[in-house]
Amino acid sequence: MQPRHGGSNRLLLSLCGLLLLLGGVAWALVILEPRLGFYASLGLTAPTPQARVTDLPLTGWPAALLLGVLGLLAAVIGLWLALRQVPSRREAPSYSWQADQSDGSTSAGSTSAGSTSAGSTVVDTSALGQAIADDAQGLSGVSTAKVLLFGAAASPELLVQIQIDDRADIRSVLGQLEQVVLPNAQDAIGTPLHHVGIRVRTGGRSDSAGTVDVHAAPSGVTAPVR
Amino acid sequence: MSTKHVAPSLLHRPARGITAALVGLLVLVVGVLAVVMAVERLRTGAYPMGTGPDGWLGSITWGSLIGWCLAIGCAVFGVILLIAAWTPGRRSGLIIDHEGLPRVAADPHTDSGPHTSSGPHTNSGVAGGSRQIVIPTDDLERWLRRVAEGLDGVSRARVRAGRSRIIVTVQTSVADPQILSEPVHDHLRERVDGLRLLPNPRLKIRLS
Repeated sequence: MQPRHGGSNRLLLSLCGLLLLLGGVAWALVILEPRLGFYASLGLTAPTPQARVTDLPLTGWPAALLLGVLGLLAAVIGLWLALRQVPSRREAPSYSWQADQSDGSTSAGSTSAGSTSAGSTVVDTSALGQAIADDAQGLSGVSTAKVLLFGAAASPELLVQIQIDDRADIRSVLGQLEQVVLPNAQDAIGTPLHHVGIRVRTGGRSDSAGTVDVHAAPSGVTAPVR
Repeated sequence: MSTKHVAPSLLHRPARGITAALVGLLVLVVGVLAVVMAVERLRTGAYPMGTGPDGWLGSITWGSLIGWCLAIGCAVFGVILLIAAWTPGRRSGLIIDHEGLPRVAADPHTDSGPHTSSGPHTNSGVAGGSRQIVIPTDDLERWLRRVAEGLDGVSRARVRAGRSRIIVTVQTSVADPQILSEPVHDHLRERVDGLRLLPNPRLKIRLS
């Protein structure tokens, strides 16, 4: 449930791919220049196929300096491109509520400079997310749950991942989530939820699944059998 | 109700992160080598490891075998990157319809301020906001495979799920596999219909 750089990655790969393709074709056209005369038709002078690739107008220490600058630039771009693939977390670290000094009520939102708040309550979103996840794990058919919170307390957003037992009715579990867990979460935060994303995983093993209650007829003794 | 939100979408296509990271590392290595060469040239007056104009690197000509290999290699690598960039890839999941899900009737009393819920059945109304409910394609495939393999007469199953079609290939030890076609189809159809996917994919059973 991490943000991704799909669009920008594809754009950068397109640019790199296009540059390499054009470079490769241009190189091949240099080799084939005596036969095709492509560069000559454009009024350009191409090096002969026997010429060294490193025969450049710039030599000596200025060439080395230019090579160093270009290398440094390439290293920085490469490092940036590689590091931005490391998953980054964009969820809110905490939600805060400010108490208004004039009427004593609390308002959800981020702290602003110069406000008349007498105090504030700050809740770590990971703790809040764990509490909501625990609530979700209490549902029948849910084996594990994970909750991330985004935005601010004034406009809370939730990403919920639940792993459901194969034999459970998935829509029934989602209904319970909608009826119980999300209203509880909304109550806990104190503001209507702005957005909820739910990822349904399968293959879970919940404690409730596979439990059969056997009632002995005369005495009424109950024994759980797994 | 605004559908704009800061939480990342659960539905996406491959981000090509590994390809981009590999390209980044390659560019980084080339850049570092260039910097090392430049520093050595400025420090000692000669390029290191025979990379100077008189070394092995400097003696490469445009039309040599290495030159041809470099030209073709660049073009092929470029085409691979373009294919990676332009191929959409498989969607990460399928959408589950949230419209039919039951919601609790709204309670006019709502508190403000932080407090914790006291139990699983104590809430004050309907949770608001937009919804995006997604089942990852892999999870749907594995779930249907396990469901199919639990059916009578099915020894193995393989599932390939797409946005508009789910193909289930079933292996059976039954002498006449055709007798399994209808029950397997009906059961899986019922389970898929029960999810209420958007759009509801067609189901195709292949028996082998």
